[in-house]
Formats: sequence, structure tokens, C-alpha cells
Amino acid sequence: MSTKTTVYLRNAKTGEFVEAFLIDGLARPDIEKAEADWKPFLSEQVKRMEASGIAKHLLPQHRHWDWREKYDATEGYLAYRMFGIECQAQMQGLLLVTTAAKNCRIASQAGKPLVYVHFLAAAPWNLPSITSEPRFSLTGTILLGTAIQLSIEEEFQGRIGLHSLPQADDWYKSSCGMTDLGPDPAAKGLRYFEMTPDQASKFLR
Amino acid sequence: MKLDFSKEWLAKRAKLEEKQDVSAGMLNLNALQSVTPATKTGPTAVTAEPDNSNPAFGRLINLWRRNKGFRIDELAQKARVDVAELIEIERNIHYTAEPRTVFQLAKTFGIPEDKMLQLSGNLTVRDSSLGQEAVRFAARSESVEKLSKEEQRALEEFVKFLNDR
Amino acid sequence: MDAVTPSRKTMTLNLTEAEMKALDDLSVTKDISKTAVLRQALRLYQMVEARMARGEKLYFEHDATKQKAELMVL
Repeated sequence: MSTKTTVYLRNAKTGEFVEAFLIDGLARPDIEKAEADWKPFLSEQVKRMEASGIAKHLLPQHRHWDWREKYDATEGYLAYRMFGIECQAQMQGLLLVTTAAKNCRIASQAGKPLVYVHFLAAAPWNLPSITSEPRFSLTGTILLGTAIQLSIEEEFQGRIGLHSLPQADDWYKSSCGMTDLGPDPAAKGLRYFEMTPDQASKFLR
Repeated sequence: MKLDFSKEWLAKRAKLEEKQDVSAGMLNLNALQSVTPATKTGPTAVTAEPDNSNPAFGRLINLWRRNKGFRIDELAQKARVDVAELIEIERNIHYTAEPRTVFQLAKTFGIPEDKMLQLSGNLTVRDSSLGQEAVRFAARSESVEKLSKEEQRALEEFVKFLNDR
Repeated sequence: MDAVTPSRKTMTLNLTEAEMKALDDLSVTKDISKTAVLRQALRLYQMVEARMARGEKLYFEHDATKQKAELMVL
């Protein structure tokens, strides 16, 4: 069953708020449409970046993600939840989390369950690193906030964990106040971040 | 589930997300292996340094594809990888394929992912038998339209070797 | 249109003393209610069953020694 909550994205050009919908429980057609909208834009930008000589490791790391695969792998499982932000009839961000089998690594929270963010991505036209005119901001904030609110609903008190893609490391640490547990060799060296109940509460304030 | 994001809160947070690329997630749903399990001959150490030339990897992809009768674009569609990258893999022995592409091809071919990662140069292991076998395989096969009997035999033996280890 | 909470069903559980104690202990360790503990158990069981039905085996791997062992200790 799918539910929609009204949220607001910010038009990156004008600074105005635009009404959007946070969807809890996406269906496959939603994902297929998102892929159909995102992929061509992303491919074009990546080609442009490659043509201008930008090194491979600087290209968007999630350019090969396929959300249909993620949907197919997790659909029907109680442990997985997928959320999307829809605005102007297009998906502006996607989130996949798991609510089971993941525990905190921070010493003070060791062994307590958390909501783990498997994947979080903004639509490519919202990424400042690949387009000089991003359309909307706040997708990351809303999706991270969603993971935290889900954690609270699950009685995990806002505890969340995630592996950051390098360009977002600083945002999670400095802007979101998460604890940086350093590069994780089990995750190809991606930095692992967690949020304690206190940090979650500060984020939502 | 009740989700609540007030405009005031969003306005406050908007400044912090300005000009940021926010994303999270590992490359693959199945966590990438950073340590290869011990082989029958003993533990092996693993580093993640790409190799410079991989004639065997491109040759394997090429022969497998032709053996199945696929065009490059058909294999790209089946494995859900970029056509351009697949061309690069088959024709450029110095090209190192993206790990995700290697995973997808491994899944499509039914070959263990860690072996494909080694073969593609994404993973270097201090166990040289795969490298030796790969060189032997590359030397036995040549790029012609239809697979010769020798190419077919070479392909079958190499795939068996990859699956048996 | 805003969020609508999906309907929930109520069920009475009949547990032995040992089962109730295990549930209590997990609730304290995990700092979540007994209902939340059972939700976790259900989610895990569903995933484990699905993968075993696909022919996969469930193992634990010791973080330090990398030694693998099946789910059951014996």
C-alpha cells in the first residue's frame, strides 16, 4: 500500500518552495518511470564530462545504479522500505532502507538496531556536481529525515546508518551532525556514518 | 507512518544542502568482497590495484557472446550494461571494466564474481594460477566471426576452470 | 492528500515462560518493545526463508578469524 505526504522542495534558481509528494511504498511503474527519466539525462551529462577529460573517479559514482534491480530484489520483503519524492510529475529522489538485521557500531549504541540506508539518490538534474543548473534542493534532507522518522516509528529512536558516497561525506558529518566511523573495507572503502538518538533529535529540531 | 516536514524546518535546512550532492549507498546490493576466502592452497592476500592489460577478460566476453550468438548490443541489454563499455572491454586490452559491469557479466555468464573481478583487473590476488590459465586461454583463441572448434574448446575449458576453483 | 496510517490487526500470543523471558531479555537488550522485537524476528525469518528456498545456506562468519559456521551451533 502506498501513501503520500505533502513536502516542499526548493527551486534552486528562484529559492521558492514547490509542493512535492513524499511517497511511502513505490510501485514498479514508478521506478520504471524514474529510470526512464533519469538515465538519459545522466548518460548525457556523463558523456559530456568524459569528453571534457574529467577523470573516471570524479564521475558520479552512482551512474550505474539501476533502481529497477533494487526494487525487484527487495519487493515483498517486510524488512525493506522504498520511498520517493515526486514533484512536477517526476521522481526527484529515491531512498531504499532496511529495518532489520543491522545494528549500531558506535560504542555507546552498540548492538541496538538501526534503520540502514542502503541507497539514497537525488535525480541527476538536481546534482550540482554534474549540472550547472540544478533544479531542486532539499531531496537529500527530506530523504534522510524520512529514514530518521522511520527509525523513530520502529522504536529505534532515530538511529540510522549509511555508507556515504565521497562527495557527500562532508554533508553527513558537518551539516547533519552524524558520527563518522571512517572508511569501511567491507564497503569498498566508503565512509560509514551513524546517527545517535541525540543527533537525530538535533537534526529534526 | 506519519511523516512531517514543516516549511520552517525545510527553510532552515535548505541553506545546509545548497550546492551539495547528497547520496549514499554501496556499489552493489551484495556487498563487494574486499577479502577473498582462503583457497585450497592456503590464504591469499587481496589488494584492489587495477592491472594494466587484460587480454583474457575481453577475450572471454567476446567468445562467450559469440558462442551464444549475441550481438554486442544484445549482450549489453541482457546483462544491463553500457554498450559503449562492452565494446571497450572486447577491443581494448588496457581497459579496466567498472566493477558493476563485471558483476553483471558474471551473473549473466554464471561465473563466480570474484574470479571475474580478478580476471578484469579489478582485484589482484597473490595466487598466480588464474593469471597463468588466463594467458593460456587468451593465446589459444583468436578473433574471428564464428568460433572455431579450438576456440570453443578453449572457452569451455576456461569457464570450467573458473567455476571449479 | 496526506499520509494515511495503514490498518493494523491485533493478535494474542500464547508463549511459554522461557519464550516470554527470551522476549523480555531481547526487548531490554535492544531497547525496543516486545512487539518491535517480534517484528524484527518476522522480517528476518521472512528473508532467511526466501533465500533458503532459493537454495542458499545461512552462515555466520567470525569477524576476526573469518571462520564460517552454520546458523545452528552444533
